[in-house]
Amino acid sequence: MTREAVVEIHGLVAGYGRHQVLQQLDLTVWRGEALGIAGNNGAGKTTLLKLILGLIAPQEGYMTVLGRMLDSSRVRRLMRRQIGYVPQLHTPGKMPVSVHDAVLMGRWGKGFGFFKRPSLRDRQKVTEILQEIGMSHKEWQEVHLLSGGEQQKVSIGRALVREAPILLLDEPSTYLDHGSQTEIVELIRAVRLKHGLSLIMISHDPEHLDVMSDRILLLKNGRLEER
Amino acid sequence: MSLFDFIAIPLFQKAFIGAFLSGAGLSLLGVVILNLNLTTIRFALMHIALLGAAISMVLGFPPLAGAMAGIVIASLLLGPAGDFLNMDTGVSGVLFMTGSLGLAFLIFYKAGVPAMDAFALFSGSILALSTFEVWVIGGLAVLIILVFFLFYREIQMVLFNQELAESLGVPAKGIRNALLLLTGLAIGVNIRMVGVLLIDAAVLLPALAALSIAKSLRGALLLSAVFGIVSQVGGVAFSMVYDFPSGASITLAAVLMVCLAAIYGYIVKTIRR
Ligand SMILES: Nc1ncnc2c1ncn2[C@@H]1O[C@H](COP(=O)(O)OP(=O)(O)O)[C@@H](O)[C@H]1O
Ligand SMILES: [Mg+2]
Repeated sequence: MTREAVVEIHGLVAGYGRHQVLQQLDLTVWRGEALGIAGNNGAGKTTLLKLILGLIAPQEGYMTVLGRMLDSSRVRRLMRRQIGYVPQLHTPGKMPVSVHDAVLMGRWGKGFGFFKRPSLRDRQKVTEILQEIGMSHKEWQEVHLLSGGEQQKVSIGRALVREAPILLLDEPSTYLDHGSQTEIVELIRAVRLKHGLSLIMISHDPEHLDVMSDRILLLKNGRLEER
Repeated sequence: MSLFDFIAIPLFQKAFIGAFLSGAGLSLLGVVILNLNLTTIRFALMHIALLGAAISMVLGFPPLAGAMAGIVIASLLLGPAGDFLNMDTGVSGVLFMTGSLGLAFLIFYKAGVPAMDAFALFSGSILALSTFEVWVIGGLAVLIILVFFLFYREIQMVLFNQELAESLGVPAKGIRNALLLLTGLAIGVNIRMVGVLLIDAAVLLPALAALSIAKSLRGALLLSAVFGIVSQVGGVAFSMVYDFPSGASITLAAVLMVCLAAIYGYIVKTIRR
């Protein structure tokens, strides 16, 4: 069986202004695998995910996603359609948004977009995923009234409605109470199998990654090492 | 005189139409200001308007032209400047504000232009609206409503979480910058209408009341418009009939809206429990 790379990175140098965070980093992520990346706070884990998402451009090196070279801002924006992203849990702002609408956002660029309203198919996809993540009963509640664990489920739901083959998770279980942590870990394992996803998860606590990943790398001094 | 006698007079008709348009359109941007933490932006824009007026007077143009130009340029620059300096948009606003205020005073002092003429711009009055100004307010109100209608989902995402929107492929910065420009224009126009000191009543308070009870962005926008119209038109009507200053009446009407919304929100929460 030949292995197919979904993400390939060579000699990546990146950072913010003069502050270099990643130095000559190499990484290959294989289709279907669940990769965990550990590393101290400030090691550059979130930065690495944002590079794969094309939210930041590298200073040097090359990166491909699903075989496409990320060499222009157009391609970077385009490839975001192939990636589901669960950012680090943030405190929601003042704006009221229902669980349904928050999950529906994941269909932007996939089903609806500029001058194209969400279709019935978009709505159905949301209903289907809400059922899968066990949030159907809260479909019309406001996101900012939910618990941390529930907000994380909504965020995972938003990534799933994108129907993208790659899923990036930034500290998915870190800032939750113990019960919710177990729930989220189980959910991630279940959706990965059901949707046949390739996962990249990051956490500053390697224990969180142990049960979810097939392989764990350590981000240190701007590079990835075997653990 | 009764309210109907006032409505028969063209001067007051213009005030009513201006109040209605401002309430229906311009107050929607309060939702943007509150969600993007831009509450300092109005101070920033006022100071920049002052700087624009100063420069304009030195060059021999009417102060209003310079003030408006300053507001447009500043609201176009606000977003990109914040990105460049890696600062919150609200924080870059403070920088703008102090910088331009200092410069304005320098110009007033060095060029010897009468500062009071520039400051006079800031005491707007809804009863002094010209027909042209009513058209400007109307055009801006239509533009704002159209933008919210056409880009509802994208605006919802940007206001919910800008970085998340960007990660989904939405050109979030562009949308935020467009909203900043509209906000600047709305503030500039409102300065002409109600004056600088009462600007919050026109652009902020309706949205504040709306956000305290709305359950979606759509609801917040609709309620902002309703509260905006009620406080502006109601305030103007009240000021005519009881011979109150119009700015003060509009402000008090808007404060009343916020109080009523808060009480309503409290009652709903108590009943739900
Ligand atoms: N937007 C930014 N601007 C400047 N520096 C940043 C920015 N984001 C992160 N950094 C810096 O980059 C380094 C790596 O950050 P990050 O990728 O968030 O680390 P991690 O996710 O591993 O905790 C840190 O030193 C952080 O201070
Ligand atoms: Mg991080």
